[in-house]
Amino acid sequence: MSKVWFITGSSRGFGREFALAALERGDKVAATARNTATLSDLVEKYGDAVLPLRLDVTDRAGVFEAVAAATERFGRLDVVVNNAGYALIGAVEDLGEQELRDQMETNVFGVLHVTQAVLPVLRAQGSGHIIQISSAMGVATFGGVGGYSASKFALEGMSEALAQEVAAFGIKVTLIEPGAFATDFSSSSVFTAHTHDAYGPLYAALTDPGASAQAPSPDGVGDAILQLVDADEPPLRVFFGEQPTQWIPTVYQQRLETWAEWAHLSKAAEGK
Amino acid sequence: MSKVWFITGSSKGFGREFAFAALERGDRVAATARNTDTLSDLVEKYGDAVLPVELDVTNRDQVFAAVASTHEHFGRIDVVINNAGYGLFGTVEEITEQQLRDQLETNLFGVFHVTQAVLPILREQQAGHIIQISTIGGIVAFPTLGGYHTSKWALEGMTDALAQEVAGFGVKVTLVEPGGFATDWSGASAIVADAHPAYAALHSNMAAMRAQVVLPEPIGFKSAILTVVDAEQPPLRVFFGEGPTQMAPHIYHQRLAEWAEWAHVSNAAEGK
Repeated sequence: MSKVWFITGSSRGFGREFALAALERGDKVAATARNTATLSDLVEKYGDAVLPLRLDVTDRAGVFEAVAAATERFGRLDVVVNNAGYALIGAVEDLGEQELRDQMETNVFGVLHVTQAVLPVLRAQGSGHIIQISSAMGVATFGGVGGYSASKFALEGMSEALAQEVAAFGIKVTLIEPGAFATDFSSSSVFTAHTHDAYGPLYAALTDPGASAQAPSPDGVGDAILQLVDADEPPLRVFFGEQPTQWIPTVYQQRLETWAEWAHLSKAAEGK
Repeated sequence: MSKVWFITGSSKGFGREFAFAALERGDRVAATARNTDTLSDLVEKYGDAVLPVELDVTNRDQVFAAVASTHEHFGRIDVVINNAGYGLFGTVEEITEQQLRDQLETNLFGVFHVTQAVLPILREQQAGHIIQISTIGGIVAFPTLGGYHTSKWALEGMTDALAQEVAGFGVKVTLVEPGGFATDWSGASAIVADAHPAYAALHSNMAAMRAQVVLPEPIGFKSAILTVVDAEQPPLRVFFGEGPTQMAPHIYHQRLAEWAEWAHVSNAAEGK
């Protein structure tokens, strides 16, 4: 049976790949973007199967309206992809308070709005799959991406709780954690306006063009998300790209070793 | 040499334990609280060694003023403990947008303000130790605590990046991750969202689970924090309490197993 998707940030990058993957196999898609002109080629090619919706996910009322419009048009929602998001780059000391607020607004509150808007629909259906586009930097991090990691770690914690809360309603939750890909994600990133000389070497390393030159193309992400959407028991977490499959286990091992090394102190804290 | 501490949320709970630990051994403490009346017994007992500071960490200007007056009073700042925080109870569907905003305001932005206020001082000293009071709930997530997890996971991500950014300046960073303790964290200090009938069974299950658990007293916190503060190479992450030392490795290995199980999808995403 064909599925109904609701995808935020469908204008480009991963969101567009997901919309195309769904539409190409005959699913229906409510595709949201801040500017629906970016969706016109989808409408031209797939006609009624696609519902273009103008949406800024930080607008809570707009989110609820978009979800209502999608539900009314297609009669149900099977797959909700919280894809809209961007990365804030800068040392924690340099981040503007407003820059961090804006980052949380899109990457956390945007997802909260969509999640809260779709949950009554999915609960009533007794089914549905909420897919959060997180990041490998929602699991581990490095200097210069503290604001972005704050938002993506936040999304991970919220979604891990959510998954346990809604499993009994037949609702599945998956966190997709991509590594670096050659999308225009990096060009949509926001670089802090407050760079301090003390962090000069950090910024030089971050903007080294050699770092992103090796990133793989996202041609496979459409197929990958279809595998998740069609799985009877999809994972709570899955990486997109090979790099995180190597990086994250190493980081996890380091954390486990640190905790083990200091376990005597953990016990001492409760008087043992 | 005696150290100068800056501790937020010193009126009760862990913050009070930390302040006593420092003062009892002759260190000096800027103890902040929203209501400085709660600090009067500290002042009575330790006199000039304690500087009581009225502070609501969500007030950025007040944070900068508190840090500046501490620096002026004691001449330096060695240990900064971001301890102020509280818990938000409710499922992701139940919590209101404003409740999540307030939660992030204290548990994330409060820490952000203090961290940005102290960093110029610590960088200039080429020394200092920023200690964030996180939680096992910043590593793993439980149902009905999604908003709290959002804030604490965000803190973990931001702080992990921060540690890597400031290591070159001689500034150390530690995330203290307590398990459950017998403080009023889940009592008077907590905010509880209005319950939705769909989650009645979940709430009663969680209440039954909590009723069975006997939480330890934080009797070892004083010596534990001193060990962290005096360590030449303190850990980035350390649990306070024995529970997390068993739970976290178990959950980490589950996540690693799931990522490995779905690695074919990770690879497929880059066309492999």
